[in-house]
Amino acid sequence: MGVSENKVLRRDGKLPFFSAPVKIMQNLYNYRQLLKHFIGRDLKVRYHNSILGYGWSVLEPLALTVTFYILFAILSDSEDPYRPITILLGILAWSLFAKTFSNGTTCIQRNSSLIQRVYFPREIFLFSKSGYNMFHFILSLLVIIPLLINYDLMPTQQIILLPIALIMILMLGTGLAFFTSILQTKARDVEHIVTIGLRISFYLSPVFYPLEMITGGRIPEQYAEAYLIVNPMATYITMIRSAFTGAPLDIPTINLVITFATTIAIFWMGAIYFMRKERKAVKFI
Amino acid sequence: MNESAISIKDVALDYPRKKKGVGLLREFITGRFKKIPRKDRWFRALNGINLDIKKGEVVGIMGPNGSGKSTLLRVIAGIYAPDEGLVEVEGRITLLAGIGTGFNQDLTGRENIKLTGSIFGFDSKSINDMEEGIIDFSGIREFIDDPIRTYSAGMRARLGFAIISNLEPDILLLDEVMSVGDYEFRKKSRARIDELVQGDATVVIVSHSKSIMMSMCDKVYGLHNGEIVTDGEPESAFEFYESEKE
Repeated sequence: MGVSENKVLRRDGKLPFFSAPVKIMQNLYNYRQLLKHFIGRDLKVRYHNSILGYGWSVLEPLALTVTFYILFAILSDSEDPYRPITILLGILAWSLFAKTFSNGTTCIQRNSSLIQRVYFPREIFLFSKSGYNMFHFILSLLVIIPLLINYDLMPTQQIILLPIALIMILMLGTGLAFFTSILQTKARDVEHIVTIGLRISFYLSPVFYPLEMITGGRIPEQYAEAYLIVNPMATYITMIRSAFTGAPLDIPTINLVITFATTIAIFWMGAIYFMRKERKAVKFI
Repeated sequence: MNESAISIKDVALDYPRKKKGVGLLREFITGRFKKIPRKDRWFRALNGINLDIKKGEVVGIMGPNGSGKSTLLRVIAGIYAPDEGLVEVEGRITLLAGIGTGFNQDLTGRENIKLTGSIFGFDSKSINDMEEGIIDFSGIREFIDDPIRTYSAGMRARLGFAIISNLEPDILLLDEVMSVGDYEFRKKSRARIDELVQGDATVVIVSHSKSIMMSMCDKVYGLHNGEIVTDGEPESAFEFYESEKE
C-alpha cells in the first residue's frame, strides 16, 4: 500500500558524524514523495490564495529593479550597457539566497505542531524550503526573457554558469540554515539576527551594482581578493550575470576554487551539526 | 502472535526544564548569563524503561500528570530519540494526541488529507482511495473544500481523527483522545477504535479513565516519575493509580 509498509523504525542514542551528509541524501531520496508534497503545498499557498498569484513573484523584483535603475541613473556615472539585467538578476539571485537562509532558519520552530505528532527526518523541512525557493527563482527568472530579447542577447555557452551558481547558492543558504534552524529552537532571537545580517549583506553584495564597482580598482587588490573570499554571494551573483550577458567571468580561478570550497565546507559542517543536534533541539519547541 | 511490535530496552530520556530559551540572548547581554549545571537544565523524564509489546496487543499506560506518559508515546512514535537505550518499532505507526494533526491553515480540508497521507508515507494512489472514506467519516463533507482556518475546533478534531484512524496503522498510539467532538462523534470514534483494537492493530492508550482501560486493554502499566512501577497486570496498575490520587 504505502511506501513505508513493514518498515522498522529504529531509534537509539547513536549519532552520525562524517556520514551525516550521506545520511541526509538517503533520507531525501526515501522521502522524496513527501518533499514533493511540501514544495507543492508552499507553491500552492503562495500562488493560489492571492489575486495576482504568479504576478507577485515577479512584481517585487521588477519594482525593486526600476527603483534601483532610477537611483543609479541619477547617482552613478558608471557605464553598464545591460544595467536593468544586471540589477534584476542581482535581486533574483540575492532573494534566492536570502529566502532559503531565512525560511530555513525558522522552519523547524514553525512546524512544531507537525514535528510533535509524527516522525520523519527533520531535514525534509529545510530542503522543502530550499526546493520551494528554487522553483520560485526559476519561475521569476522568466521575466528576464523579454529583457534579453530587447538587448538582443542570445544564450552562449556561458549559460552553464547558471546551474552551477544556482546549486552553490542553495548549498550556501541551506548550509547556513542547518546551524541557525537549530539555534532558533533555543533562542528566538536568531531569526532577527539573520534578518539584520541579511539586510547588511544585501548592501555589501553586488546586488544592485556590478562587482566591478567594488573590485574594479576602487580598493587595493588584496582587499578585493579578501572581499571575494568572505562574500561568496558576490561570486555567485556575478556568475549568474555572466551566464546571461555572455561576458567573461572576471574572477581569478583561485578565488573561484576557494569560494566553492568554502560553500561546500559550510554545507558539510552544517549537515553534521544538524544531524547531531536535531533530536535535542526538537525537545525545545 | 508472539512477534514484538514495539520493543523498548533500557530507555532513558532527558527533557529540558525551561522549554523555550527565549531569554538566552537577553541574559547574555545583560550579563546575567551564567553557566547552569546540566542537572539543573535537564531532568530525567523517562528512566530505565523496558517494554515489549506484542503484535495485536492493547496496552494501557496510567499515571499522574507529569509522570511521562505523553513523552513515552512520543518516544515510541520516534518523535524523541532516546538519550540512552534502544527503541524498535515494526510497522506503520500513528500518534493521535489532542486535536488536529499539524494541519496547514491555508489549505483546504481535502488538500490536508492528501498532505497528511503523504506525511505518513502513503503514495498518491492509496491516498485517493482513502479520501472518500475519510470525508464520510468526518461528517464535514460540505466544508471539505474550504480552507482549514475557517473550521471550528470541533471540525478540526473530527477531520484529524478521521484521517488518522483511516490510515489503517499497524500501531496506534492514543493520548487522551476519547473526549474529542460532540456526543455523536465520540460514540463513532469509540466504535472505530474498538474496530481497530479488534483487528490486528497494536494499540497503546494513555488515559485517566479506568473504564476505558478495563474494557479495552490486555495489559496496563503504571508510570511514576518516568519509571514503570507495575508489572502489567491491570489490577495492580489501578491499585497504584488509586493510591496516587490520594
